[in-house]
Amino acid sequence: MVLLTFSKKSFFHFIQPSHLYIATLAFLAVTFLMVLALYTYLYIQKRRFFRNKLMTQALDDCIGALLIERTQDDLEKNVTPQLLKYLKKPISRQLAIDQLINTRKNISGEAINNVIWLYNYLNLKEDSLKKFQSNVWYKKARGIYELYMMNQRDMLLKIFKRTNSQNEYIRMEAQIAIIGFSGFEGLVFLNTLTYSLTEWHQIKLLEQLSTFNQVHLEKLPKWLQSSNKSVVMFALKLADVYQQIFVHDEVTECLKDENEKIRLQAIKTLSRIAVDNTPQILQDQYDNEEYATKLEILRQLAIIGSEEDIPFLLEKLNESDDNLKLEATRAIMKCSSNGEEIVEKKIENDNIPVSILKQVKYEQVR
Amino acid sequence: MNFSDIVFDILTYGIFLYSVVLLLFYVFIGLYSIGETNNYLHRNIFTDYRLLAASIHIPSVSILAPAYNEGATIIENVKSLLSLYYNNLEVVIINDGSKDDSLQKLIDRYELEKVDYHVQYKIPTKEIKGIYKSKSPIYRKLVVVDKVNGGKADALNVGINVSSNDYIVCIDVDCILEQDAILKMIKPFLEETDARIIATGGVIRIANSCEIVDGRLIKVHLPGNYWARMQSLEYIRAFILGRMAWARLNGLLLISGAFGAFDKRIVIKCGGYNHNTVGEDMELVVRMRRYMEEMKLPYKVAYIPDPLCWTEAPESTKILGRQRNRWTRGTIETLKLHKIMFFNPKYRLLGMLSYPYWLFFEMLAPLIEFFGFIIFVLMTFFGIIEWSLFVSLLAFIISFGYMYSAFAALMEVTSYNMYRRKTDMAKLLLTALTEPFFFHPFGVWAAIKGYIDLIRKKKSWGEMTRTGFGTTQTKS
Repeated sequence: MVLLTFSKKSFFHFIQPSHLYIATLAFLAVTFLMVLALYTYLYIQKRRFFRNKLMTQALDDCIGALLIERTQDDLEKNVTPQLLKYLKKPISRQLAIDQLINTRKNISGEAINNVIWLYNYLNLKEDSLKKFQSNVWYKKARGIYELYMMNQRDMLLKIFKRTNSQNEYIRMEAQIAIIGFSGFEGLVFLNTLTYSLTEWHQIKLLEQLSTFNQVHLEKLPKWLQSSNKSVVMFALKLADVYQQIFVHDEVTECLKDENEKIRLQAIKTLSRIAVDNTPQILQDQYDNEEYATKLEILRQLAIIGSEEDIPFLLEKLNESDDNLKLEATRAIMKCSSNGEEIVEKKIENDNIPVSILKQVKYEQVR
Repeated sequence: MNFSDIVFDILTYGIFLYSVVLLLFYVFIGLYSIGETNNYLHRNIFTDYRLLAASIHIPSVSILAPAYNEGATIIENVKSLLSLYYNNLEVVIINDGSKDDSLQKLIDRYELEKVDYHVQYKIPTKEIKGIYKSKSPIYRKLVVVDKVNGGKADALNVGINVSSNDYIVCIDVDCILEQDAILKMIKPFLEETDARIIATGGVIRIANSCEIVDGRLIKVHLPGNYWARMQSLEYIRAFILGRMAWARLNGLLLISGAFGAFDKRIVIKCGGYNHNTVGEDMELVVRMRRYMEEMKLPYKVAYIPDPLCWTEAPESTKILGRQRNRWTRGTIETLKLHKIMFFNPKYRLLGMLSYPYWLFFEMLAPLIEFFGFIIFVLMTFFGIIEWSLFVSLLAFIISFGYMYSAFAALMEVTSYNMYRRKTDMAKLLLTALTEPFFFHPFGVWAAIKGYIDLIRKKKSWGEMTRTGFGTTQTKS
């Protein structure tokens, strides 16, 4: 802070000590109120902590018993009056929902149904529904999250309507929920999606899908031609992860896309669903590409290439960029049984750093 | 009105206007940061990082950690980095010509062997003496680079050249990172839509007095040492209020060198870290932003309010003074290098707000304060000071400082509440009461020494002796 020193009389017309003292008092009063708020908050948090601890313990005991129960009567007898008493406060109910969700994440099989039964029995769904109906985005998103984590399938249609919500977080939770309810069939929202799917979102969807058995993704060709670039990107990843060979032609078309990230992913996907002419397609693409995509082509040729690709790869040893030379060397060594000799011969004739070959040889030994 | 009256009026009203604008900025920053922090908390409250950290779909990341004479703690530091929770990770330790046994310790502990490795010098650096990898597959993530001493910026540039991934996280090797730190830092890059995320900054917290076992933070305590405790408050104010507000405006100029994530392609296009400044962390962010502005590419620099990185703060005035001296020189050098942006509408918010703010209220503030103090002494000597106004102004400014510190403490408690012992918050607030009389004047004096050193063309970082988390280490 700047320490001001003044003696000018004229200045007093505007700022007088009394004004500054009033402001000082105001600042000190606000400071006092903030400190008061701080300690009140800490006190409330502390009280809440102890109350929550008791409630958590009661709920833990109940969940522990529920996980081994079979019949409706057995389930009900584990819900103690004490637990019901704790759950009268909204904050405790939220904590209970969070605890049930955490439990659900860590268990599998029939026990999940008992956790969901408890959620319904304690009427916690009402709390989730209130959030879902809220106009505040983060409450709505959280409501969706809770409803799908607690497998409230009757909400499927209502949640589906939010898969193209203007708010990205509501949209994301709704899409994950639909996948959670319906697996691969839930991907139907991609048909009408007008907003972007971020990379983060795509990773979450792929993780969610990984829990379901793979199916034939018949809508993939349509998604690969979507006007929504993020849908194309996600479809490319789906084709890659689930090796959907039947979309080879559509993926090849994606190499013409102006978006570099799409072309990059298309190269990776083509490698995973490669057919006989895929290496040639990648070679033809090479000269039109930018640096990162060129590198990717060479990396993928190392996986799917053969002796036939050696002349092309040898040419790439003359690239000015060392990383391209390195990837080309790696590819040659993978594609040919006498790759080392081929590269050594090239090094003798051309100006190629020998350290590149040494590095690749080390990698192969490792 | 004679000439001296005119000069006096300009000084009086000029400094008054400067102070009013500065205080208004503080109020704006404080209030504006609330929305950003709350928004972040709401967005991430039920994100399951545990599930995603193990995903094969997350992008690969290289951590770059330069080390100079870190022999005392290097093994624990590397162990801590290798245990981070992230699937596709490469840990690059750059031994910047250490004079101690850092390298030998690493070789012995992690079963390292010198490997054939071709380095393309996309950014010119000093010579690499050797690259080491572990014979054991357990440490396959680890790459150790031994190089000729060239300073932190040069070491980081070597790391950029050697790293094999698209995203780099630059850290101080002795920092303690939270287990999910990398995933949280990379998330903004994955959430980008129209604007490219070029860098993400993370909050740095003070680890002095905290319980650290095996390179992991076990329990948080408020520092026992006065200077470190004062820095805890200062860091809360700077990170939770200042940088969050600037991030919301997309006007952030500084990502701490102790912990920042970058898009490597943009870093390379900009030429990497500048080794001719001691403020290489700020300079890189400014240069990257300038590059994006000049290319007319939409971009954003993101900030994460989670306490993800814990570092040891200087506990003595000697070391603290050197640090602040260096920060001042770094700020001046950076702003001088990019003076073309000053009030230049071509650079939009960067030129019209961020740069002028840093120039007037970060770079010039200590100079103006020091000048004010000299005037005060002279006026007192000549008996021309109006004491009633002086005392009221002093009370005004000190009470404003208290209010701002109380607000920062309130934000800390209502967001992350890291200091949970009963007495911690009281201690922190009591420490704040002393700030205008000890810590702040000390900071101004250290900054003035920074100006003097800059005029003398001093380029060194200054010895940074660290106590270490239970051990002793020396860094320069």
